[in-house]
Amino acid sequence: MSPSPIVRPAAAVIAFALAACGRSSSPAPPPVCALPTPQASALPAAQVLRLGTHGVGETVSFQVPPGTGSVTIVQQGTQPSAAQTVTHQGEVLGNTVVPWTVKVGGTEFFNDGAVAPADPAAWGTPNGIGSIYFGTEAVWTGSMTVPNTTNMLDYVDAHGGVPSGSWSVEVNDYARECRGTTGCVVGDGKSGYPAGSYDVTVLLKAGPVVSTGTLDVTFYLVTDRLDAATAPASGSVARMEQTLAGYLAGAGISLGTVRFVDLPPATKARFAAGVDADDTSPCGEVASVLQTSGPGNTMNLFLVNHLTSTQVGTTRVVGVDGTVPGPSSVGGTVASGALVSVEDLAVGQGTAACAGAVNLAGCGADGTAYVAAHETGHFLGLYHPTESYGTLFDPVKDTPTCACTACAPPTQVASCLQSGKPGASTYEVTGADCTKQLSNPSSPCGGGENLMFWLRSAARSTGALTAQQSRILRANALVE
Amino acid sequence: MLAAIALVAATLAAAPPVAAPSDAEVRAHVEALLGAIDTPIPAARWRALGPAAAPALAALAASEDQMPSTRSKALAALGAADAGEAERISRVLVDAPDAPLTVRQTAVRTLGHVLAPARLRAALAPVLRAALPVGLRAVAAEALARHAGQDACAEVMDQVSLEPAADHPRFERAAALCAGRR
Repeated sequence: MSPSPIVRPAAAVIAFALAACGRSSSPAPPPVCALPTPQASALPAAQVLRLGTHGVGETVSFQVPPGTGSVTIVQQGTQPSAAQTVTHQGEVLGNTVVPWTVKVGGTEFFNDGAVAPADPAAWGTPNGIGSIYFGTEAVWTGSMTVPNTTNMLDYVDAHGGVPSGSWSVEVNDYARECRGTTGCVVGDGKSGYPAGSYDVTVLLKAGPVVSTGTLDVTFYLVTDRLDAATAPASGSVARMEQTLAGYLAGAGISLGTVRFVDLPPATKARFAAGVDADDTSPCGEVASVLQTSGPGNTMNLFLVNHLTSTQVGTTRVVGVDGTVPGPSSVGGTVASGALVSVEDLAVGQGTAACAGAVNLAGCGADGTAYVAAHETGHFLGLYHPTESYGTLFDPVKDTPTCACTACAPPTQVASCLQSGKPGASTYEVTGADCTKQLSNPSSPCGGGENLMFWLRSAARSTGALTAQQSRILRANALVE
Repeated sequence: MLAAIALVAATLAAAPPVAAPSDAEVRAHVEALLGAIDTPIPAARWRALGPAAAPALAALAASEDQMPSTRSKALAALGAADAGEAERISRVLVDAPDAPLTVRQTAVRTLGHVLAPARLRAALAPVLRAALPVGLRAVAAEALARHAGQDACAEVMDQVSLEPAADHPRFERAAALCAGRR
């Protein structure tokens, strides 16, 4: 076991035990909202291992056959009174559920206490730490899909599948880690929160993962501008589907069955003025929308009129994914899909803007499809190749990076985030900064055209996906 | 992951001095940031871009050539960068029946952010009572309930009582705010 510089498993367990002793004087708070109970996977039974409910600190084991293409570990909360947040050195974080360790045959492939570097693509080895990456907020429901790194893709190449044999996963959440960490507070710091417990399900996808696949999509219509009866005949919807299919094809994935499902009229009315994207907690509006998804092995895309922010002056978003990756094939959870704004959908429809090649500048359906494809990429396991400040990168080697200090305009380099937390003047890398490699292959500044780049630009976003990104997408259990 | 956060915080260092970008660079950066897909840009960032940001945002918010999402984002950002200009453009857009509904709704929300409670009540009372479509009235109700204090809630709830029952879910946020549930 590789101890963390700050959080050690033993320390966490001891601290948790002490906290448990002190709980009697402070009652647990009531649940703050109705959280969903564990939901079942829609995959065939042979692909699903239901391992039951386990408290944090417990280790669960299961067998993975040789030649398996991917493994997805889905953990769904069962203790609604558990804390939903932790405050670590003044920063409020969601109580993310993530395994403390993942081992195969005694070899540790993941340890949440092991600190990944800013560029995890070059971190670790294919046969140990650094081969599985996790970097998302995932409260109440958390998923981990393997492979999601270049290291693990290399392992798959060498062994014909992900690690086989006896896997063991130590159930864990941030509250457990927090209890063993100086300067960390669980929940409000006053109530006696019970420890988290989670239903653990493992999804197996048989290998080898081939160069093509099919992804079914369900469009849940939160928007009141579309209904399931007429949406299939809508020109703008058809254009969106066509463009989405084109982006997926870049990864060797065909768009399979497309379904449209109306949410109840009252739900449509409730969210007609937008879904508040500020609160991404399991009690927030995003989660309450995602919970309405039904069972099925499909990518659930919730089309909303728009996404709003109640923060003064904060620019809202046009897409939101539940978690990276999502709980593939498991509907009805707080993370079972992604939300996509359709406020631009009809723009340009019926004109030349939407008649030819993809046109992000003039065809709203194309822009909507781009966001849908981007959020699908997150759900299937992809991160932004370069995050906004140009200091954090994805765990995939063949995605070009765009470090702020190397790629920002000369007048802005001093505003690049050097260390610590970003401030109001911290520079963000843009498409212009991160597409220099296209014209100058020796430039270190790339990835701005990639589908998973954090910005969409009519001039620069091509929706490109690299070979390794495509392999990660196709390895997901959702892709058949 | 908590360990990683601690490590980052522990290495906090003072930023070196920064050269001012040109107005053209600021405009280009404004346009780029409006392309954010799922990363919110906080108000402080828009303010920190300096005086050249506001005219760029204002032009984009008012432009009928831009996508509704871009206009809405620009208008919301303008509320942080230049409240006066945001108010002016928002007032125009609220009353522009041909503007996209989401842009008009953002204009209502922006007025909620930039106007003091009394002025907000004066500005949005007619919207709450008579604006079409109902989606605009619902956002006005929410903005009043959120920013104009409990005094506005009587007007809000009175309007809700006049709305058809099928539309009541549209006013759920406003009603929750007035009931102190948010």
